[in-house]
Amino acid sequence: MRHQGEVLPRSIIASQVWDMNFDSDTNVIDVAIRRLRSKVDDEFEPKLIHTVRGMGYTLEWEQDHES
Amino acid sequence: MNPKHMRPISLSLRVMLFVMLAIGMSLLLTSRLVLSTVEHHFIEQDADELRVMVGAIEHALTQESSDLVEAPSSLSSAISGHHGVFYEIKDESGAVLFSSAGLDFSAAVPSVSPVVDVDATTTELWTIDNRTYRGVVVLRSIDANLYQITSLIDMEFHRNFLNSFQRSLWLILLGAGVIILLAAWIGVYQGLRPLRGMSHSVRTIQTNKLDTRLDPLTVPIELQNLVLSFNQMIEQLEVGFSKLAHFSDDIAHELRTPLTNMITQTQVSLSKARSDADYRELLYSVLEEQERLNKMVNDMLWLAKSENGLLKLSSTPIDLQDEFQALFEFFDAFADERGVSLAVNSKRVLVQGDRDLLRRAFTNMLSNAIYHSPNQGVVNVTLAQDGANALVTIENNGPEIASIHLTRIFDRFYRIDPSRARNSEGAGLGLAIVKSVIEAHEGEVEARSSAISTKFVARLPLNS
Repeated sequence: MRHQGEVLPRSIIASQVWDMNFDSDTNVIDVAIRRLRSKVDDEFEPKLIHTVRGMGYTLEWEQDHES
Repeated sequence: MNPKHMRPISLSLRVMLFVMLAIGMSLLLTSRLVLSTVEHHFIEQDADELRVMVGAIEHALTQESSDLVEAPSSLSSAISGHHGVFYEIKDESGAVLFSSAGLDFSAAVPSVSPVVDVDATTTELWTIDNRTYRGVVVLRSIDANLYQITSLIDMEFHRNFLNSFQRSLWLILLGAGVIILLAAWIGVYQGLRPLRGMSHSVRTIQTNKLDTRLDPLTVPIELQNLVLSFNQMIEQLEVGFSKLAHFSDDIAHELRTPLTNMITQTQVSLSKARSDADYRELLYSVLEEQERLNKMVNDMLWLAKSENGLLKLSSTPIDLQDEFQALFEFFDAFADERGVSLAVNSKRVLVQGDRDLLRRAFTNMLSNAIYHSPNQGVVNVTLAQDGANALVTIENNGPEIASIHLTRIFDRFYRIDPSRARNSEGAGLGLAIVKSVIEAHEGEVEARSSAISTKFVARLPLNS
């Protein structure tokens, strides 16, 4: 929970989680987040993982960043 | 001018100097040889004449020894027919018995020791009253009397002849030398003509007609290599030029799409008043395009750096098997989503290199392979050793890539689809980056494709 509330861009997620200097345009991170979300958030409220369009993802209790 | 940058001596001058040296030496040698031959011939001739004279005098003395009164006349008849000859005959006490008139050489002839045989080696040169004579002194015992016979030949005639001969010889040789030099100069001038022709043809080649080639069959054989090298250079220039032209074309294309998108979206948004949410939507879209542009520019900068050898590679031992294990974990969800399975067939293979860069290359290769793999397809990674190289083969059963694309697939911005249809593949720099990384590690990468499978093979030097 170190980065709670911070928006993490995909490249940071790639390097922090997989130690990958990832620069491909393929949506590897999005797929991974989607999977994570299906396990963490799908059946629970409130949602934890939020997408910040154009920037990345954030982990937060309440507010929904998606507009 | 700095002596290091001084222009080398002109070719004509070089040839002329060498020709001049060769001609000078050979003419000098020739003249020496001719002159010494002629001189030797004259000496032989003189010696012959002296021998005949001494013989005649001996003969006269034998006949006339008792009659000294008659002697002069028989002596002069003995030497008659010889021109410019003189003699002197002394007895044992040194008193002059007979001598020819007109020349007093008692003072001039020094103490010359008499010789027995008269030939070219025993004659001597004397100078009397500024005239040169060749002479010989012999001792003869005739009827118990001992005579010392000195005979001389005037050399002035020979010397005059030799002098004038020498003069004309020099003149002839000088003339010959001048003619040869002139011929050499014309030869050099003519010889350099094909070069001038070449220079003219080269000057007509402009950047817009780099397809011009010089015909190696129209130049002398000595220039053929020059022409071939030149053609090779032009060919490389042509390739480079056309690449550059395509490159700017491609950059323009790739930059235009995101820019057009942003402009259009902004224009549409501004066409009337909108809600905050709409503006936010616009900004998101613009941000996405900007990120795309940013990534493209960064990649291009990176490629430019690597092309100019400005990349700083760190060097650590890397176990490729571990690497691909990590890569598989990373791509696991992505591959699963696309219905592609990943398989590795490997041994422990160690290479030396920059972990970050190699990961970047392998991620690009793997994501390409997964992306282009059909549903239910398999991406096979094989790690092997081939001599001193590590062989990384990434194979999928995607659609076949035509061979005309295979060689260019690593070029920046190259797309198999000529319409440059925009998709999630990015700007077409991924494989260019792969190639740069692998080549920065002194390896090579190639693509092979058949109807069944497409392989990307990277060859890297093993960690030794």
